[in-house]
Amino acid sequence: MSWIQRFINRKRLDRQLADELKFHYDQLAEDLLRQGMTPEQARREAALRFGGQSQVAEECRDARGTVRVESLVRDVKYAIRVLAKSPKSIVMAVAAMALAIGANTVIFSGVHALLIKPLPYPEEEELFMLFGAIPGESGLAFSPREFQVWQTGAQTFSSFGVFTGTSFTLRGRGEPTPVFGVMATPGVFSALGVSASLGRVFDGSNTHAGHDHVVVLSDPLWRKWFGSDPDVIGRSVYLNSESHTVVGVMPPDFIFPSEKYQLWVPANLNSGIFQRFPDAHFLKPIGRLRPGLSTSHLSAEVDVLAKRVAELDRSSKRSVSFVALPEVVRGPVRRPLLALMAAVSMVLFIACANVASILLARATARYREFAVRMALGAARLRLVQQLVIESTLLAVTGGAFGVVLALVGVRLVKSMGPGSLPGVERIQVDTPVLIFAVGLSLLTGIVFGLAPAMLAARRAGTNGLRQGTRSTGNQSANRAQRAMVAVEVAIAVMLVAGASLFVHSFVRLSSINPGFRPDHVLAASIVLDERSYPEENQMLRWTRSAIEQARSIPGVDAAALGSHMPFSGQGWGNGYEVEGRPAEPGKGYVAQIRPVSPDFFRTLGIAIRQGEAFTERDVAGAPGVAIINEKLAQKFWPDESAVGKRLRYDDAWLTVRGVVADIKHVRLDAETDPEIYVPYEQLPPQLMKFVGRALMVVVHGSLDPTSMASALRNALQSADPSLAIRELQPLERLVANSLAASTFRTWLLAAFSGISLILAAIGIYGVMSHLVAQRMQEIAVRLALGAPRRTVLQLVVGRALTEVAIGLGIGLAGAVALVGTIRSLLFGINEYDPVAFTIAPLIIIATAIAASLPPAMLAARADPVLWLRTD
Amino acid sequence: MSNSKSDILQGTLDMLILKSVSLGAMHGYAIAQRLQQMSRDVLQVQQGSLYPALHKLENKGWLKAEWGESGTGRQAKFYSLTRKGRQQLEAELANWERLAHAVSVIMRTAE
Repeated sequence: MSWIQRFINRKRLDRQLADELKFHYDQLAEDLLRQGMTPEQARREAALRFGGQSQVAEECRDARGTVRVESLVRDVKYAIRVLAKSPKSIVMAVAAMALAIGANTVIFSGVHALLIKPLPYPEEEELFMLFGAIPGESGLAFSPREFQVWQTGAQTFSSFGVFTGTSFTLRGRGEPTPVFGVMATPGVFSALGVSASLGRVFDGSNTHAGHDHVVVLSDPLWRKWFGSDPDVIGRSVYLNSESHTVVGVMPPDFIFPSEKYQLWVPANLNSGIFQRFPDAHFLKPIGRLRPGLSTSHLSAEVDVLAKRVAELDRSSKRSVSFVALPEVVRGPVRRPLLALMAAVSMVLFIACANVASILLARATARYREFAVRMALGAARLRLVQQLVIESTLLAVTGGAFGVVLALVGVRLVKSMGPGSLPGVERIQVDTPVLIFAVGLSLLTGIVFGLAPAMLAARRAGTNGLRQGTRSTGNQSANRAQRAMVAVEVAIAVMLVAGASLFVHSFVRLSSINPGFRPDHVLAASIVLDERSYPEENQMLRWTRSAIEQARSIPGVDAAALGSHMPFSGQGWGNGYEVEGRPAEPGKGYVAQIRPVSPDFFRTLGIAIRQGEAFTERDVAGAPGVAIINEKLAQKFWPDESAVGKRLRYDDAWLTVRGVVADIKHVRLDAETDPEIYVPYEQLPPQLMKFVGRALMVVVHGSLDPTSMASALRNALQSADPSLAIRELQPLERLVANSLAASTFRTWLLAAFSGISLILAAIGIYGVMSHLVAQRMQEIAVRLALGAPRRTVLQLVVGRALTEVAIGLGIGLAGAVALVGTIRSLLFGINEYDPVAFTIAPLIIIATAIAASLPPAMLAARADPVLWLRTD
Repeated sequence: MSNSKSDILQGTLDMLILKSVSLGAMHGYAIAQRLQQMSRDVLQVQQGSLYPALHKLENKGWLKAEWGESGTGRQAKFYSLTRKGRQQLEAELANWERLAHAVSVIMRTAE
């Protein structure tokens, strides 16, 4: 049998061995008896001739080859017994490890899912996306005309296509459901190189009229909407009231371009919006490089084709760049994740310092045990092995709890929503993450158990069984412990300082006035799709009816709607001209255009600085009007009223009716763009049908949010029951979502600094308990001599503070040195913010006092008689 | 414990055990008696030291063991030669003869 089998069966084999040896011995004794000896003599002679049974048995067991494993198992069992004897410090060590490994596992799961895991496309490094850029802005999309140039001219790509995201309403089964989808040319799928798991992806034939109403579903959508029906191929479904046939379902882990998009339809470049707006930039190109070509080939081709495009487009200073797809996906998350890894490694360091310190304390308390064992012949290595086994057991147990904590932690992180970190939905605790957790536990257990173990073994060896080893042997251990506390405090200070900076910055950020009043405002997003609302008069009929219904909800005092509303995620940048103020040649003015209904400013509480708001009379056919924001007004008419001036973004000249306050539109910390508000009703029909379909209805009222929400939903559905309401939430929430990334960072760092404070507190508590125990005699003498208990408290707490002072100093210095790296993440405060740098030390001092109070109170309440009696 | 003298002794012991067992399955006591017999009491080894050797040979796959009834009716562990063991025995025998020949040549010529 193999040695594993021999190991498993060792008890049985031991018994057999004993039987075998006994048999031999008995036979020998019998034969000697037969030869004439007395039973006594026979037995003695047999023993002599046989040799020591136990020694023989031991040699046989050695021959079995399982000795090393057996002794390891024995050591582990012994370690468990030893650890179980002092539960308090062990619980603290396990808790420290659990917190640290849990936090590290959470961050690693993020790093793994977002930075390490390969994308679900074969040879991902061959995929590239193209981006346009003009002076001042990059990451721009292509226009259909540009795409034509590229499609005909590109040689370096083996497949090439463009895509754009859009929203659909899915109908055909139950409630109309809003869904995000992608319109893509077939080149996109051939570039990605992933085939459908059911059916097929679309190809060139699907870009011609008559064959282009097909759809490929994502796996989650197929499961949810079609109930994983295996016969889904060939079924029809209504997308925005147009029937599409399902031709394929993608594999479960296929995602493109992000989790948000659940279906793919072919882009027929000869029809629809591609035909009507050939110069609108909304297509994103992606291509796969031909095998064997390098990025320098691509770079050369980009230069050539960009020039060709520039010849088509008048005066644009447009350049084109390419970025590898993996970089597009991973680039934005890399810095935040690596920063988080750095922070969480610091937490791990503190936890390890804690555990090492606890182990050292325990090891020094066991000097006698070690000295005896070494005197009995135990090798020093064996003792070190014993201690390392104990520390590894601790770490692994902590790691097990840590994994549980990590599961909770990952769920919390994901609940912070998609805005917090791109791709956060993909994070999960899967096998590689678990392997990481296990590996980290083992590594920390071994590495941070080794030093105290070696220290203790060496001490026990030299000092041996000498009495009174308490004072000398403990000194170096003591110093090591205090050094570790200093390190812990230093790291904790740095984390707390960082967290304080983030919290202060966050407070500043979230208290920015957005320029409008988001409270008690409810926002509902809808899309008027082409099929149901092909012409502008149908769209207007809906908008008027919707506002009527919304206004008539009891408790609502103002209702409005518009496209490209604040914090809706939509923007419409357009060039504009001001009458009498021609722009410099080669430059143009760009502003955000905002089509809104008349009551918009009143509903959102936007202050009107000059002139007046729109009225019901500003409809199509009436003189064109616009309202500009202060930014635009300041630019052209700083010293006079802008009312009455004229400007235009399209063919028609608009008269400025009024000037309103600047508002934040996308992010609270971004500068406001110049904005031109126009009455929705006055949008030229072509534009209304292109950009005016995604609308947001806002109401301001005094009802509680839930009843207002259902009332609004009913109101909108009475205007058209088949219209899907995509989102219905308080405007405050939309504003808060824009802060998601900052919220995420701040909360995580606060959590880490909280953990580090707990760990540092544990460390301080440990050191102080130790110190108190050592100096109990002195304290007892003082108490006996009449010192009030209060002075004992002061003594201990004061000592704690001096211990902490060094760490505090180092930590603050470190924080000041490193804080430059997070400058870009802070808003509204200087990185040397005095508030944060005052709060951080105070928190540490408070922690130190709190951690030293229990041992201090224990000492203060001690009965001096007891202590002076014993030694 | 590992000096060259006991290594040679160990290797020799293994060979002798294999030889003893080659004639038929035997339990440890019988092997001990056979060894004493064959060497005409020249080889004095502690009988117990047989067993580590037996177990090692069993683990190496040169001997296989079975529990059976001994002559006296008690249960005993019987060892017998495996095919690999037989090959090993022949190889060792050849080695030993070569060694003995070489030693005797040297000893003779030195005179």
